[in-house]
Amino acid sequence: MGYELELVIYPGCLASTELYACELSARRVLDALEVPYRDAEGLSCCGMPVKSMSTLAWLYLSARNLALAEEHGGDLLTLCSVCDFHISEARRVLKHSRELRAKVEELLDQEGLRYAGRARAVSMLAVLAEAAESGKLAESRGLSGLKVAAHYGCQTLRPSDMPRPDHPEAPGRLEAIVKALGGEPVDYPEKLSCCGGILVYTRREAALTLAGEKVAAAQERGADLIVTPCPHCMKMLDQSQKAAAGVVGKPLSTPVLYATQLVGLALGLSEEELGLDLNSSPVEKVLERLG
Amino acid sequence: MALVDLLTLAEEKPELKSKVYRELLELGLSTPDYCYLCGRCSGGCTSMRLLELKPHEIAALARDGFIEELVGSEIIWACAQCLQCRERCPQGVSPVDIILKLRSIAVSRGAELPEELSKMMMSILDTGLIQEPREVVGRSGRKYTREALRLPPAPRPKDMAAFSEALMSTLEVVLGGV
Ligand code: SF4
Ligand code: SF4
Repeated sequence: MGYELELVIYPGCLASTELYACELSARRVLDALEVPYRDAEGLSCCGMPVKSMSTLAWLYLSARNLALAEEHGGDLLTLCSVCDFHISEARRVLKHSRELRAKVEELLDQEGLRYAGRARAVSMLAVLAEAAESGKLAESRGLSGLKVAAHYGCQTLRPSDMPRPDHPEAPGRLEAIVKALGGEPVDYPEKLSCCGGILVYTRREAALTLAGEKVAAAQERGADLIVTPCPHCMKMLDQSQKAAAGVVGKPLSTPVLYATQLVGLALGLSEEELGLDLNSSPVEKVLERLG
Repeated sequence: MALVDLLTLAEEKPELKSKVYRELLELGLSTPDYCYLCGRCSGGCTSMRLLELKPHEIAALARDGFIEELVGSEIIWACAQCLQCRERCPQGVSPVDIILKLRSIAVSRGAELPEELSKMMMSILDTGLIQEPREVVGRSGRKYTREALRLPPAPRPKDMAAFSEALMSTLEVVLGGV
């Protein structure tokens, strides 16, 4: 099992402030799968945006979220791969460096928080994969053979010198989920390439090129849709698909779904419960196919 | 100016180099001394093709002490943080982490922070999140907020003042623009 303790849901900044469909569908799917989780007060950003300025700022932000999960005796259930990586990496560093840990503990103390190093980040991808592996997805109404291209996202898979939810070069858990739901995984050589989700903050045009090339690659191989477990990837492949099409000069119109939106559809949850109106890509194509 | 051009004006700075080395070791990563220029990192680099970022060159320049020149170069902001270089390096060197260290030195010396990162940092200091929850528009034209979707209120540090103060202290060099 990937998680032993109670799960504290950690949507992360993007899902909390903008990509609401990720959080909404995650909550509804967790309910449907009867995976218990709870909310914790006081959570914040994982620190990704400040890592370019200060290691300590990032470590403090990641550690305070872990400390809050510990208050509830739980692990952090991350809905975002960027958060999952940054929090897991912080946990690794705080184990490695006594000096950094002492500095972080001092900062946490100002807020009345304590970090014991018990809580971990557990990704939504791992939770869904375990549901698939234990046969929990088998009774779903299914994806009726829809061709699904998996986009894992860089920070979901790398680096393998620390715990990640899937294999860095040959991942297969998204495909296993798709198969369990009665869909057909589509392979494409660019599967592991980057969508530009973080690059977009410093080099927008290049990031949109990456996103556009990625969607085009899946589209050219006949994918009915792309699925991703990361809101940053959603922001690029779904929300920015039109802009990316303009940059790469290709007509892109491939539906992109967040992992729990896809699972929820197969489980028969409603469009409202999954926030499907909030996707920018043409998800109605998927709905038509599913009838 | 290209990185190689900068090198003609270059001069080694041992103190800066040892600061970067010390900080990489604190993160449990190999120092650039372990780099033998195999080029595997650049072979997988997302930003190499589009933006001419060459992580092996960054590692080699850091090893040779040209920190000043790297810090002054725009190329350090071209990294996509895709982590391929860290994954591929047979020596445990992590060019992406070298790049992040170089960025923080650049910023501490008054280099202008990319606008998006700066906005997110200010918002985190104020609210704990990269931005305030936004009203978003669906494909149907309908508008949505967290409340309308019956999501619980967005998370927020309980003691905002203590949070901001603690975070501020870690960003002093940046905000002070030293
Ligand atoms: S993390 Fe940055 S330097 Fe490393 S491979 Fe990716 S884009 Fe290149
Ligand atoms: S992969 Fe590692 S050893 Fe090879 S060039 Fe890059 S940093 Fe140096």
